[in-house]
Amino acid sequence: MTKLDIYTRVHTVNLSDSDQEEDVAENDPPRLPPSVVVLDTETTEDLGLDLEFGCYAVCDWLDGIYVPREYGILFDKLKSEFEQVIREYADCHPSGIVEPGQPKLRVRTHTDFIKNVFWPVLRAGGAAVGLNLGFDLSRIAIGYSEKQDGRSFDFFTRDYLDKKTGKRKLSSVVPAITRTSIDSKKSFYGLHFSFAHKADGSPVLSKEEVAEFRKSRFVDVRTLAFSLTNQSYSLETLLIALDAPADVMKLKYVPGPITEEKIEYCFHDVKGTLWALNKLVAEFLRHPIKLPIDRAYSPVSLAKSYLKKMNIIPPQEKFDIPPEFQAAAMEAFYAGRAETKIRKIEMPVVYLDFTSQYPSVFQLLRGQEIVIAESLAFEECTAEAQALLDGLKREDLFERDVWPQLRFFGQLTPDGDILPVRAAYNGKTPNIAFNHFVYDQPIFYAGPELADAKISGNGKSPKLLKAFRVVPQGIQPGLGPVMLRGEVPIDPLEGDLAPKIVESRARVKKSNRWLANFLKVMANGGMFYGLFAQVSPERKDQEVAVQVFTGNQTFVSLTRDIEKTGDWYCPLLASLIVSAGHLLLAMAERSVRDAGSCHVLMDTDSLAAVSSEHSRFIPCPGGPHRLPDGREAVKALSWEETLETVVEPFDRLHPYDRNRVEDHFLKVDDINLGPDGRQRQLYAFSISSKRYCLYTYSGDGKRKIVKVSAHGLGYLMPPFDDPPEARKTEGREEHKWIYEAWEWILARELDGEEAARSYRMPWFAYPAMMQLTVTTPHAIKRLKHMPWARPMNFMNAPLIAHALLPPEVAADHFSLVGPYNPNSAMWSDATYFNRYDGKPYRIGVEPDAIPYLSYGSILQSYRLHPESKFLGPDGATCNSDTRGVLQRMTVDGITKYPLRKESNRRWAEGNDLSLIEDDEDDPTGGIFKRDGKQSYHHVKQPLPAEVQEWLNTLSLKLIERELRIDRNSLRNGRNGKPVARIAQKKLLVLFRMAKRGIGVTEALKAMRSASAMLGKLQNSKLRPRNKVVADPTLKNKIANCGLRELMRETGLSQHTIEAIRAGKAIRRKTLQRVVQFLDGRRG
Amino acid sequence: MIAEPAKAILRRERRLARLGNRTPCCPRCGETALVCLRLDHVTGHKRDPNFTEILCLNCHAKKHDQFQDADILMMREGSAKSLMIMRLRAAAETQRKQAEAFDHWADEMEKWS
Repeated sequence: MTKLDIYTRVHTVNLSDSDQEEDVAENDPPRLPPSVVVLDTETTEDLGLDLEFGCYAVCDWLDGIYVPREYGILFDKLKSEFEQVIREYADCHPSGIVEPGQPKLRVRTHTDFIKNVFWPVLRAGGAAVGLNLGFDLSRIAIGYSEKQDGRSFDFFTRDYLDKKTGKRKLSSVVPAITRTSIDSKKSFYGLHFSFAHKADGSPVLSKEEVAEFRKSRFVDVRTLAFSLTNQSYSLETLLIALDAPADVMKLKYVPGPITEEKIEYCFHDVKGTLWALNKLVAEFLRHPIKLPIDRAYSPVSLAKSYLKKMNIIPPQEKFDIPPEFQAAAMEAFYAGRAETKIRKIEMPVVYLDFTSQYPSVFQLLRGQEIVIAESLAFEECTAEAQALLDGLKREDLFERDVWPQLRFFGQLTPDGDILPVRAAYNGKTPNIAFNHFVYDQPIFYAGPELADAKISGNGKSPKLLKAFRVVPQGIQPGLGPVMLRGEVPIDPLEGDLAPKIVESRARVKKSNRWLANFLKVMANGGMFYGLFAQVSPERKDQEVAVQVFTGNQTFVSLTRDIEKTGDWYCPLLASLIVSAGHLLLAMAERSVRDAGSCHVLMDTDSLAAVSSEHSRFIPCPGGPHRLPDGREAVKALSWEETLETVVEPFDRLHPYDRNRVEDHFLKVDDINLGPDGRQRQLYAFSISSKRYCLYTYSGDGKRKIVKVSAHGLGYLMPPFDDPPEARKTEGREEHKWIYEAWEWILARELDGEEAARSYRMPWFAYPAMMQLTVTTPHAIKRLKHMPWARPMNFMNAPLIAHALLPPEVAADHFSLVGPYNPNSAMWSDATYFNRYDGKPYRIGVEPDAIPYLSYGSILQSYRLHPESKFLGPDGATCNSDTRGVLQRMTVDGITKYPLRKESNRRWAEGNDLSLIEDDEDDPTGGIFKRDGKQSYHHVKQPLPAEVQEWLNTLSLKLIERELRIDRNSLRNGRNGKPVARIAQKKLLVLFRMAKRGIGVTEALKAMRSASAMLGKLQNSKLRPRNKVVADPTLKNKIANCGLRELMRETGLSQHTIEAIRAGKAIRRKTLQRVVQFLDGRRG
Repeated sequence: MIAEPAKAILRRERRLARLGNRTPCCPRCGETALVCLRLDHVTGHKRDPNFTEILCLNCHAKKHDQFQDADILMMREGSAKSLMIMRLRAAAETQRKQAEAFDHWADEMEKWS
């Protein structure tokens, strides 16, 4: 048994925000800005990346596209020779604009551009547009400041000469631009006004001017493309994806000082960005939603707009879900399942994946009933849930009717059940694995997870302490249909959304690429899971009190870092959906196992089952079979067997019309098919979770990789160029270096060290390099405020071999960064700077150089990465050499910690400075600490005005009696005085019901029964199995000991010791402490 | 030639914001050139600052001339009753002229083949 602390997600409520405080509904700006200024900048090539010059286009919206009105070049503080180059270029190059008469390119200074182009366009309600807009804005900024939230910068664009001091100061005649970094694909932009006053007391900016500035908009083409396609692009790859004509495609980068070619390159980028913008806008306008283009941050933004258009009220607004139920659901929330089962043994496989997994389970669980419900009820269902689990057989789960019955959450003290457990298996970061779990405290799991435990284990049912189910009630009035992308009609009142979307996609997959892609994005990226799980970390300027709810307790935490939830946050749904996905994979695993075989790996919605054209046995340590020579082996199912025993049974669950979605529900992925469309033999090699590759063998015995995972490698810069066109032509999803890396890994692992030599590439010797971007104030702090550390600067950062540093170098204060350069041939010769003290260094093998980690050494570590979540075939800890079928471990949970949102930006971003060391300022992945004495239920706030008015019309006596709120509190509520939250909640629920037309008496009756239900759940009289009563002998011994001595030696309170003496039930572990003390005394 | 397109855009947007309509048009003569359109107070600014319509400069000038002919002067009335009377008369005069314009357009349309 492995003792580990465990971590669970929690539900939080910010005590400082009033419940009634609603975001002031801003008037949504028009969908499209009437004009844009498209911007691209070129910089110096040192660490500072200072602005050299930029190109821009001022465009107007006319007849369905943005039409340029002015092209120009801006520059700032250049040497005269470079300014001359720019002016000559402008003189010789016509702008290409005939009307309204801009024959030449304009040349402007930075100040001229800001004053006469940038801000006038923005004040007119126009938008600043760029690809990776934040970088260009940071280049045209003349100064910046860091905001307290740790994620934002203010960029200042104008200054003035202070006549008194003779110094230049930041001007308040224009606002600062605030950029808040969310992730690598999106940022929020806003304005920050200083509201300064002149000497005479009048404001520098009038109200009308402020209102005008507030019309400013910011559009990052990269974010827009992501929201429409769910993919991340550079300008080059975006133009390719949009099938741009050759004359718009990106030119090759021109390094060095300013030349005509460099200006031409920059202009080309502006024109390319404008072309891409027009194409994306045309696509965006096909969607009949009101979403403004600069608020399209991700596919979830589009999904929310469509749901809004259907008049579906968001769960947070519609349902009044007690925080205790939200907490139970959050505790039960575990992300997608990824694991390795057979480590470091080449296995023939068939790669299977579930058709649209999340929409499918949403459909199976009838999630739509919850989304469109008028209200939700929560029913205690302990007995029914236990009966369901007790009687559940694997075959039952292939019946669609069973799945809605799994829409419950059960609390238990796990006793060896196979359940997802979040623990720091590697000793550092919490990770999720499905293991045997023993824990003497109650913990919630979602119904599908409990069903999974039943079928995955030895048939033993998890024993529930209590359970509640979610019961949707009624249908929300006012729902209406919508046309997805103006082409696919969907109506929440007629049929189910998920099948409609998935079936429509299957229909148009070959004929309408954009529509098919959009439907895929909606199905997989937004509408059926993502938005219900949205939680965004936010840093406040000062500590606030947050009420933290775990599955079985609540406490207050004082923190600056809160978890902000969106309107669509609904952990009840999110947990059920993701756990249902786990269940599908567990069923597939069980099917494979029952057929006598095994799987190699799982990854969220896919599974690689050991399978070959003809059934055979393959030697594998830990395998359940034996070869004639005694070696352990794994059975490979034949392809036919795989189809019959694993794939086809799932068709009974198929949520879609088979005439439209011909694929099996658990389908044989296309990757199993060769170019001729016939099935080919795939092989899988897996090192650990998400570190695997799939490949084939050609006739001459050469391996060809067909699917590769960049997980754990993607944070490094590519050591050579791989043009996107080549990637597209060769059908590669990842950069070529990842494929070459895996070719070496496979050779090293399967053919030996000698044979692997021929796969060693020259770039193996290059210094492993990361590209770092300064996106947040945290990152600036990490750079110890070096003068060249500016927002949005990016730089190269070689990975240092800290273990080989000379003794005089303080390893914990040593980290190098250097000028950004994607050309790997120049990395070894560059000068780098220690970001702690700014001193310059060279890297290399020479005595005076700093030793670095090469790509080769990174790959060496990569292939030796152990799978710490499971045990080896022999039951020992999995180490770097472990090979074979891994076993689940038994996790004995010690203490349960409340975890914040776990995925911080590191692996997602791949390039934040905090990646190369722990960032104590990054709260994600951390835990909530217990603090403060404020109680959630007793914090007082006044009622909203309309509730006060309404309360004045009601009989206080009735409310007092039915809701058990004392008369004084009610009078206070009426008069606008603060009222305890517990009373507020009840009154608000009653008010909302009254607003929907439900009579007061009826509403009170409903609340009474709901309250009784909640009370029943909270006050469960079942004694947890971990409590015991001291036997009479022990009680006598304790009675004969001095109370003080007992308290001192055991650390228990007087209250606890007296409870033991009185024969009350005490936690087993507590009693053990007393027993140990008494045994020690005897000894 | 537009020397500063960005500033021209800002001026245009400010005009459109003042007019409160992104596709403004004079209802009397059909003029759509933004530079010619203004927001006119139908009964007079002092009588009702919120009752406005878009008119081109020419029609605006004609309207005020017609008001003078109809003895509707742009002056502050002494009493609430006289204020209401002048509001109604100004609105009636405006609509009379509008009706004439509609008749005129209908006549033109009849001549189309």
